[in-house]
Amino acid sequence: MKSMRDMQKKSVRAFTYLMRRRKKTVTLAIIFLVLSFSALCGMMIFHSVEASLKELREQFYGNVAVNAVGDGSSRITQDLGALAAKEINADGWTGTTTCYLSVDDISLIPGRFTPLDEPAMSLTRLYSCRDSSLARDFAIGTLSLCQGRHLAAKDRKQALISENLADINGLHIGDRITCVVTDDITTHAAAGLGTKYEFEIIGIYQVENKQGDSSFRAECDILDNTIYVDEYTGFEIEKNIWCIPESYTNGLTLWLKDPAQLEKAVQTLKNTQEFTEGDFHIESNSAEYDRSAAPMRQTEQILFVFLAFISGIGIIFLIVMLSMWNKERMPEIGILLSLGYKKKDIFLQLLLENSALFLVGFLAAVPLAFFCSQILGSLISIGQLSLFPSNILLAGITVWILCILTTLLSSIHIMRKTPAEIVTTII
Amino acid sequence: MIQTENLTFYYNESKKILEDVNISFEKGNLYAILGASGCGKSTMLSLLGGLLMPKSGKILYEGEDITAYGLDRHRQDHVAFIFQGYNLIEYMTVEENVALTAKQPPETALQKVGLEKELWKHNVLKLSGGQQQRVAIARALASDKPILLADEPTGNLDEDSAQAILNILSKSAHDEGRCVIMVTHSMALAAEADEIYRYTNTKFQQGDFGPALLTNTENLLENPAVQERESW
Repeated sequence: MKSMRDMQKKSVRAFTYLMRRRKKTVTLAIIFLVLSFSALCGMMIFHSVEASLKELREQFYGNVAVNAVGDGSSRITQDLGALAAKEINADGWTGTTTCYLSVDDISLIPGRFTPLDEPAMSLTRLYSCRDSSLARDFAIGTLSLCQGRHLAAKDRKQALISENLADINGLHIGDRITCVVTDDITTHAAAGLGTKYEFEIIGIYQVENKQGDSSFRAECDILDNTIYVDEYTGFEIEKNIWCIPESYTNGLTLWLKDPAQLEKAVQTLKNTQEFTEGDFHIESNSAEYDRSAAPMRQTEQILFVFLAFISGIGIIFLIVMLSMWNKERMPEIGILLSLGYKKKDIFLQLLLENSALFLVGFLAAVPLAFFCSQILGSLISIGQLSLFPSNILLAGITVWILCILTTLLSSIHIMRKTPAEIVTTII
Repeated sequence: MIQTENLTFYYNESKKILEDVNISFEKGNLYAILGASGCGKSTMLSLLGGLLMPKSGKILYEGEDITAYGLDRHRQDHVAFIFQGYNLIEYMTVEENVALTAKQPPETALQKVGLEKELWKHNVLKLSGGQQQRVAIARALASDKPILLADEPTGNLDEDSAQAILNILSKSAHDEGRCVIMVTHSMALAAEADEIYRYTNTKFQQGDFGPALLTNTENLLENPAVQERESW
């Protein structure tokens, strides 16, 4: 009850001071407004950038690539792929195998061999994959499916071709293409020369990032000529040509929604017994995400530096002003001490005054920050600039702690004096 | 009520201001401590008021050492100061200044010191010196503390105002039973006190000083130690 009464008295004194010293009150309230505004904007930008980065991460994913290295005795099988996916809790995975076959019944997009009329003009790259939607070029958006569906693990003798390839050959979903093992492309083939593989077209993709002039490229290096085939057939081709057991010769690609988890995933796989060090190369790749996130990070950093600068100036200004004003109030403090007030009471009164002004400044800063978020959002295009209750609360607590610290720092020279030293100023 | 036991104080050990002072003040009396300006008599007041800590010896309030009791608590519970410069909080009104310490309604104290009611809501800076000192005394009276320590309470006032203030202090001691200790260099003022202590060469002398002495304040002892150390 007594402490309530004391607090009430302190509040009345604080309020009296603020009302009678209007210039100081307004100046201090403006400083708190600037600090609160900076804190709110900081929180807003941080939250907005984090939200945008999260979206970006989900858009780009990140992947962990696993490749067999060493003397060739280590192979990445389907079981190993499934194990790896389970170990790192991957959102999806695929294994790929690349082989080169000639096309019998269709024309490829012309490259540098077509004008020369060389056999390599019919040679193209076949990517066999467990899930074509997770094949790297599709996952990062270089290619996109525009008709039909993607290849899945259950598929047999099925393929995806490019829109351009389909157009120049008049091909549609459901049509068939034939690829053949030729001597030109499989000079080191152990077997299978002349073997034909027929594929049903189940999907057509388009190339989003055009490669430019293709006349200097080999036909097999032109993205439009790449044929995606099912993994079953891919394994069969590998077995027939190289006489090797089923495996993903181009390794595994395991996708994680959050690229931030990539390093942990790599470490987990490295610690897995099946992925013996020296036999497998495991690395993470979030280059696309990093590239896209970089400008956003830069914007965030620039804004933070700017806000930190304003806040720093504000804090210094606040400490200097409060110190000067407290010095001016030395006689008042001396009087209060001589009347039996304790230093603690006096400090609490100063804190109450400053906290009241912080509250006024903060309450004014909230709508201002809302208003500025609209303008700022359109200027710096980081999107979703909005204030959430949690941001407001956090900004409020931060600035209030700052208010307490500056009050403490600015009154420390007074609080360290003895009552007699302070009272001297009034005698 | 309040007494000192072998009280010694100095800022510089080689130049003592008070040495083995034994002095006692009782309630219901108005005391005057006499000494020239800057001689250190205010130091005694500060020690009695718990603003300074004795270097040795004790100050006892009702038999209890005020250092043990706590100097903050002593100031809060036992003593009220009245200063020569009034020391009112300048952004406050008369009433607000008195209410700072009020254990009783400010109005009662303001009536006691005879300050006109229409001035109560005024800012203290708008009052004359005499009126401001009345406010300061009202503030001290409103705190309802048993000891009033007045440091040159009439130093800045004209003769009439000084007499009025003295009457209030005297009434406070005699009618309300307070112990009023007044530091002054004014012989005329000291002559009105129940008891006079003369501060001389680190000691206090109690007694009835003759008119010749009382009229020659400039000849009162000036303590070089104190004059060297004006700031605390």
